[in-house]
Amino acid sequence: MIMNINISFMVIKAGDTMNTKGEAVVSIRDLAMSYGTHQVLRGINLNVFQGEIIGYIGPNGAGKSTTVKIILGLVDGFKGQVKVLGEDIADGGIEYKRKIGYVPETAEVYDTLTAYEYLTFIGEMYGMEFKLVDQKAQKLMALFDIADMYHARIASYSKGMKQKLLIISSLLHNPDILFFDEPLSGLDANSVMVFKEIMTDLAAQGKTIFYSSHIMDVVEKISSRIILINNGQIVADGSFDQLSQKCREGSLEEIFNQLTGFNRHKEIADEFIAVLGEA
Amino acid sequence: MKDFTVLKLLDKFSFLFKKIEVDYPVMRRILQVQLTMDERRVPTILTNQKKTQSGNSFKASLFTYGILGFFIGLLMLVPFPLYYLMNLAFGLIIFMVMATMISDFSTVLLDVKDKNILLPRPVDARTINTAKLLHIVIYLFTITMSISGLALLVGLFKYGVAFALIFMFELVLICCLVVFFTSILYMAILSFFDGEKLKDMINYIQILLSIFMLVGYQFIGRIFNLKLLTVTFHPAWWHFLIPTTWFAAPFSLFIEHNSSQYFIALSLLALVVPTAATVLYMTLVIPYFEGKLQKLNSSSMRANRGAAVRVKIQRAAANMLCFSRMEKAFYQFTQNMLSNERKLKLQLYPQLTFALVMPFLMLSGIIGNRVSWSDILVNLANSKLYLAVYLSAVILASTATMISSSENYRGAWIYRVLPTESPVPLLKGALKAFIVKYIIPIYLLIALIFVLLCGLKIIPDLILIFINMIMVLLLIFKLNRKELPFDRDFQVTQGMSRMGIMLISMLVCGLCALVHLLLTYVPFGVILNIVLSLGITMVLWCKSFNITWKEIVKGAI
Repeated sequence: MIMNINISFMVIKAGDTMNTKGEAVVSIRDLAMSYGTHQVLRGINLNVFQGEIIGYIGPNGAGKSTTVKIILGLVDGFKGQVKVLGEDIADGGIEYKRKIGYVPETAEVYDTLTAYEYLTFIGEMYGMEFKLVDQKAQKLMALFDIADMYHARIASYSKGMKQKLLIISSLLHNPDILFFDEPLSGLDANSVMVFKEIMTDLAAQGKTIFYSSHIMDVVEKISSRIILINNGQIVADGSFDQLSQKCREGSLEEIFNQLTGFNRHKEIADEFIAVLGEA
Repeated sequence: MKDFTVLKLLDKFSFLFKKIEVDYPVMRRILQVQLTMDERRVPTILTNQKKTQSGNSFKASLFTYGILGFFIGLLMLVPFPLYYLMNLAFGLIIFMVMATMISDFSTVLLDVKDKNILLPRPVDARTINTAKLLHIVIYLFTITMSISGLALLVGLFKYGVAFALIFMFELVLICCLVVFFTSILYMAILSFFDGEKLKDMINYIQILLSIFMLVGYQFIGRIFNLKLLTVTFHPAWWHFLIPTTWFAAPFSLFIEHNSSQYFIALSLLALVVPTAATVLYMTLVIPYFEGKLQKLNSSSMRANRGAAVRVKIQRAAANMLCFSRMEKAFYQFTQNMLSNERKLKLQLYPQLTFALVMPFLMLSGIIGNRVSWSDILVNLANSKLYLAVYLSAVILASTATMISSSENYRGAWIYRVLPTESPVPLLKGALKAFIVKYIIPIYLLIALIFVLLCGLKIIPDLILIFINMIMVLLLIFKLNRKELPFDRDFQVTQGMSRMGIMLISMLVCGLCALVHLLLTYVPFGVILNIVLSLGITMVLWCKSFNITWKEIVKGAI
């Protein structure tokens, strides 16, 4: 029975209302990608418009990070077309990257550098004036309550501090499109509140945000549009209200379960407990 | 951030980079960051412990290369025709640079971190790649200079300024060529195997290099004893295939004014091949190579058929050698860790090889000038030269302390959360595993060779030496600070230094050898000695493992 429902929901389209918002900021056509014989993406079609906060969700290995990495030019060898701000990324231009900010899920940083050195370096990579980056970086660090760490090596940072640094480094150049992959990981509750507020304000300013996370309540609350990807395909696309109406489920978590065809959580947990008890 | 002299030097050539469409200011900034980080390449745990001497490890290795450079410099003094001399010198230099490239710069060449950090930014790939190439070449050139600096000076005095200029210029070309060849090699490996395999191969090359350095030094003195053969020289087509001839030819051409077509052709090759290689590297190799690098962090999880059998044998051995369940678990754990720890192998294998060859090096020194093989064998069989095995014992006994180092030392927190009353099973299991995995096989090999040389009658002596070796090993274990296996990073030395351990090992082994030698003159002396040593060893075994958690030195955490 469940399977049938799934098929009928294969693509829940938010409808054509979206297309009236002018030209797409990011447009993806028939995007496919495979690593060796393993096909990660099987034809993604997506138009993203200015000011949207997109909750980009899906099970582990569904192809979320791959999509983002392709858009950023980190992964080659994809099929299909990806346009960012009207520029086809396959043309090899790098100008579009000036408008993008990125917080990767597992981020690498040059951690023998201090925040001062790292942030000014990154800023200069975007062609910013050294002095300006320095000032901005210092102020942003202070706002995130880590001003005293500005001249400490990143290696000595706690997980939360490092995450704050990554967020700052992705925003320094005031980009128009943002890709956040689990940006809240390691942040304390107060910082989380600050960051959510920042995202809402950025979107209000007309910036576009791709927000990828496994924490469904957060995605549910902040996203203006939710895209669920499963097995390399988009299986749902729409606002939370639209999705919950169509799926007749009350929370994004339940919608997620339903659309990914997963309903065995209770069973699995029971079995798990049973195995623990084995002598 | 420091402004490096190299970068200022590079500024003079900035027009060149603009010509090949590299964003020079951005590239310069990337290089500056890379060089700054290299200076700080000190493990993080050191930063809050002892005062750090940053950049020291690099300078220390430069010193080692300097010693080798000394010999190449000496070589330059030999009154050979310049062409041969340069062939020899470049042969050594190219070998060393290639080996260094593989052992020290693989990390830079194979690094995907830069790509992950820089590619999302508006920096084009060409600029990133040029920065990477320059980064490697700058370091490689520094090392090359320390290897060939003395040769340069000697040449400068002997042949004048022209020599020095050609030499310097060619060193840069050699560096470029070496980078090209290394990346081609890696590319080939990565096309067929996964990243883990490549890392293994690099590890083995590193090990070979250290063995070469360690054993090579023993031989260098002897090179100069060789009678200098009179060399005759005929140009042949295959000379064109040997890179050293390309680089040696310009010296003949410009300094000895030997302008035959042969030398002109070779000199051209010296210029053309590295240049072509660099262009090829920038345009073709890098894009392809970077694609392959994505494979680096993946490993195909094909199940190893041999693994299942190995586990069975290990389990059987563990059941025989260990008594408690904890000890068995640690025996097996240590065996597994030892086979996968690349950094540990890098330190351990050269020592083990050294232990293997040391007695024979000494024997060849003593016997040296005897004429016939049969003569040597007869001499050996009737002598007490098998006592040279104690040299191996000195080294083998000192290696056991190495198991406390690991590149995965951060994983050691697990020991402290385990509900174990005493650390003894951990230590016992680990030590037993180490002895079984490394010490016994190496010792058996040495013993076998000595039995072949000296006859079966030395078997009791070899048994005695083995027992004495284990005794010394336990003594060192007892005297040294107690550390859990794989508990600390390599750079951190706690307890006795390696030198101290070697000294104790040498002293006690020497003493054992002396007692052994004296008792060989007494009837049944060796048997008596075996009983005695066995007794001491057993007492030591019990005493050494009288350890509580409090005595264990805390590692990194």
